[in-house]
Amino acid sequence: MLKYIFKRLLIFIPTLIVISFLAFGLSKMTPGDPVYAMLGETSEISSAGGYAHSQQVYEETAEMLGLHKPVFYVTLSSSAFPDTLHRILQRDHRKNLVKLIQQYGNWPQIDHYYQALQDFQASFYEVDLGVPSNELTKVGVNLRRLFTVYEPKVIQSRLDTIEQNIQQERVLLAELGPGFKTVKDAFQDILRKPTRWKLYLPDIKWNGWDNQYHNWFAGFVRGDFGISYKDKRPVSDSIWEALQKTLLLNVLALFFTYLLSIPLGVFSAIYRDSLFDRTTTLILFILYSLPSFWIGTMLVVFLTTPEYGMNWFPSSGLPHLPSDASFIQRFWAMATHLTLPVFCLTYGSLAFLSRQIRSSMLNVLQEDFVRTAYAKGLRPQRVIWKHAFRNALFPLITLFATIFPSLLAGSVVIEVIFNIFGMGKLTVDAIFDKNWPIVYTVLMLSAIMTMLGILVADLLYAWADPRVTYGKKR
Amino acid sequence: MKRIQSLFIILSGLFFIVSCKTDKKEELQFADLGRPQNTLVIRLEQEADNLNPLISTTNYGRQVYEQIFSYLLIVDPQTYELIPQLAKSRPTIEAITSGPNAGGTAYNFEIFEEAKWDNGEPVTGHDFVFTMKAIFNPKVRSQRMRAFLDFIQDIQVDPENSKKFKVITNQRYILSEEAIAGVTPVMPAYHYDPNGLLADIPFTDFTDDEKIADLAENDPRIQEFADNFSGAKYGREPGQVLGSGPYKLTEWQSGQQIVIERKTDWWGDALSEDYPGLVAYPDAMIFKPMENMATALAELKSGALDVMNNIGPKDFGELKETDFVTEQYNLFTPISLVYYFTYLNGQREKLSDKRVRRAIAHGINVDQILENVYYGYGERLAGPVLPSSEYYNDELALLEHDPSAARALLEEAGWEDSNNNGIYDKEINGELQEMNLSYLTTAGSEISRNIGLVIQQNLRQIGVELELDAQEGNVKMGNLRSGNYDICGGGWALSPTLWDPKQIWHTESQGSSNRVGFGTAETDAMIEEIRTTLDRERRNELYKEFQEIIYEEQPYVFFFAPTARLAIHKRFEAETTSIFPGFVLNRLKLKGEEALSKN
Repeated sequence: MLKYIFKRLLIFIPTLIVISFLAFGLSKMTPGDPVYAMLGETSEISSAGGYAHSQQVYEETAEMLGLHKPVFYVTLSSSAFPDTLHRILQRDHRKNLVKLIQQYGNWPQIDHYYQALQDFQASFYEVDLGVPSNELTKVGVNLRRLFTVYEPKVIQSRLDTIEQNIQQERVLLAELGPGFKTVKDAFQDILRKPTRWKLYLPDIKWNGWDNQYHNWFAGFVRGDFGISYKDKRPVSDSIWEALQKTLLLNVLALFFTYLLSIPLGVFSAIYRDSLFDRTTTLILFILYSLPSFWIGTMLVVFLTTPEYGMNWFPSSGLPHLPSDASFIQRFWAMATHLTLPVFCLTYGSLAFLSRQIRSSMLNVLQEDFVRTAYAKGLRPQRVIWKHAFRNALFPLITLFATIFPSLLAGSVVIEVIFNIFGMGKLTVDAIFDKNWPIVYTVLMLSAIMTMLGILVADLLYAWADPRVTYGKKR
Repeated sequence: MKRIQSLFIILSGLFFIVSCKTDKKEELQFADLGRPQNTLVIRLEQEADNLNPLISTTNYGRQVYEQIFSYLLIVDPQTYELIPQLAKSRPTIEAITSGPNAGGTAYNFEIFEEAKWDNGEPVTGHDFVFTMKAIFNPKVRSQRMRAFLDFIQDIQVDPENSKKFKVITNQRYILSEEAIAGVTPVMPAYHYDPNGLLADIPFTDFTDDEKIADLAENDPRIQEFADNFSGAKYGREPGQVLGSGPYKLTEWQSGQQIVIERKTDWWGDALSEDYPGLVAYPDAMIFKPMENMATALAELKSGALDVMNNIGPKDFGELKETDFVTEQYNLFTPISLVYYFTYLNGQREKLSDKRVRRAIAHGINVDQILENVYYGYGERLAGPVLPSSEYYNDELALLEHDPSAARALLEEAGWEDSNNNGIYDKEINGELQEMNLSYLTTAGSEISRNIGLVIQQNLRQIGVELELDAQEGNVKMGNLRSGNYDICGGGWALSPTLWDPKQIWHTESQGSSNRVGFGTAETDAMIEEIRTTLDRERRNELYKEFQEIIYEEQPYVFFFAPTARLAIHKRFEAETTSIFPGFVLNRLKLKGEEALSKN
């Protein structure tokens, strides 16, 4: 048995690594720029500094987030791609270069073109005519656009517009002409010397240990989950805070679910088709079909304000008590605050679980050994709980396997309605904010919990049914 | 069966107890609220992120920390003028004519003699210098603020009187004074840099790009300071978030509440009679994050909240009709400093003609949107300027809903319905093109979709086909930035004070915030002139002229400024303002006994 557990734990490691690849890889593919997410929408405000400054702010932030490092140990791509692309911090620019490479496959020429564009832009910012010039403005507009266009036609038309405008003013021609010629030639070079065959040659590049994935995963293994982008606190602090609330709610909800559903299920199986069975079936089905967000909102609206004369419960949150409050006071405050959310979390699964138990009990009760037990003259209590119930436990155990991860995962809806910010809210917010350190950590933790849950369930099967063994057969 | 019976008995017993107890509580709440009278409970729409002013990036953080820290100057909530808080008065301004910063401007500030930190030490110019060093430290995540302040070149503290200091900038810029005095509060050097890591590095090193890059690379103090300074400790721990403001942080329970309490012997009390910027009435404030509107409303109705802003338009209408709410709360709708509009992407061939854009403006029934989607909570405007502002161009009339005028404009621009399908078409580059456009909405946003539907219906009447395209927020943002769209809804902030149009209207911002391809060399030059004209009259003239150009070009269809929807408990004398969140917390004054009994 121990050997079996050990083996299973060993399998955890590769599974976790694969999950970490997936989590990390998918996060890199989602749309939206984490730098803007980090800076907030107002990041575009750069009152005094202007364009160049906002570029600088962007790059500094990208660097702080570690985005200037390669993404992974190896890059698996075609040989047309350089191994230094990650050093271009502007996500828009980088994506645009990738699209150019995908068309022509000639990185040296494309790189040259990109450099020429940047030099041209630098010289553009140095031009000072002293008077407003529409030509200069148009050059600027088209120039900035060039960094994010990749269709040859569009590039050509932007270049043409720039050329026309430069040629209209002698000063511009003198100051920008040479720089522009380099850009134009560089672009022609791309068109003239495509190496598309390189796109079909696979290529694996080794990026070294100092990459984004390694830094994150090594930290994770050490227990350092990183710093949350949003409130700049250690991720472990944020998660621990949320986890306490979620655990409190979920443990209570689970406790009540099992406490009520086991007797309900067992008794409706025993007294099958009785009035009791039918009423509970009806009530449970009604409960099961009512969505918890609706019930939750109804409860808040009707039972927590004096509007309908039923101001019985506090509306939201967890209680705040002075530190000298007595145990009774604490207990009472907690109980009133938790009644409604715990009820919302309980009733749905209560219906589901008791139905499961009922049907599995019904099956077992028809078995021969139950009849035998009755025939032996055992007390009904003993037959039901000792003989029948134990055999009806399998579906319960299977469900138990899902409990472990669900202990961690909060219910966003309930948390938002009752203003108790636990794991659900934390996770969803983190996903929307692109707060990856938190998302990764929650994902990994729930992966671990899921695997543990399945393992525990497997062990419980063996406990419930002696026929199931995991060791070597003796 | 017996067990079930006993279970029911237990359960009903529990309910009995619950009901007994809560009845008592209800009495308490109405008798004396269950909390001290002069404690304000405020709903935050979201949890504050951080209380370190340089690190926080949200309004929610700011709402809390601006009670803990003080600024040199603040914007008066009624007159929108700059008024003193830490500084005795607005700075004296000198033009710099010689030296390395010739062409720049210097601002002379003086801090109140009375102003002191919690340890009894005076607040001085050195603290201001420290705050600026922290902002300019490239390892501190304060890029946002740095962007507002990077014109500062040097700060000279008067060696005789450290309360006096001179801020030297390299430019003339209308918003410099406001930025210097109001972007960041002043932070105590003794507390946030206890080891004096930045003390020995001259400030000019921070403003010199090369020197600071070199320091960041080679001087470990820069990194060490940033690590300490940005830590969670200074962001959220009671006793560690310290400013010269009237309140101190006493408790932060994540997701539940932030409590700040009035300091008992605060230096500003001696001055608050003469200086409205130093008024602070409530004894304590409790900020409760509550995202869910239904929950927040339930809290409000049960009397557990004192102030709440941004109440849903529909809910607000219902609150007004609910007697027991209006008995306890005053409800207000001051205009807020935001305007809503529709981007018309002039970079698109079909929208490049201003007549087409004006036609669309005439085609959209803004009043219908205001009524149907916003329940009437908004004030129409014709341009991007607050109507009560002194530089608002009131000669520009609203572009009214007028389908026939819209059709006339489209026809003038060469559009006709040649194939009689009810939609205008035109030959562009040798190809017959239908006037069909797409409207970006935010996936999942009901409001955004409803606006889209109204516009779609409106434009069909003028022969323009609009297709709604719902996109995820980030994707939509990306497409807006890169100009890859036709029409889309948007909102920007309105300035209560001076307005710098550069961010949104300069051609340099095309590709970021100028999303419609607006601008010519003339408008760019005009923007530059506005930014540097310190003469009020001349500047106002320019502002009006610039509004006229925007009006003429209609790069946006201007909708309205929404009105904030607020509830404030009746035991406070309410004063509302357009500045977010619509009330000034420290100025909410508990009414006298008599006034209370009248209510």
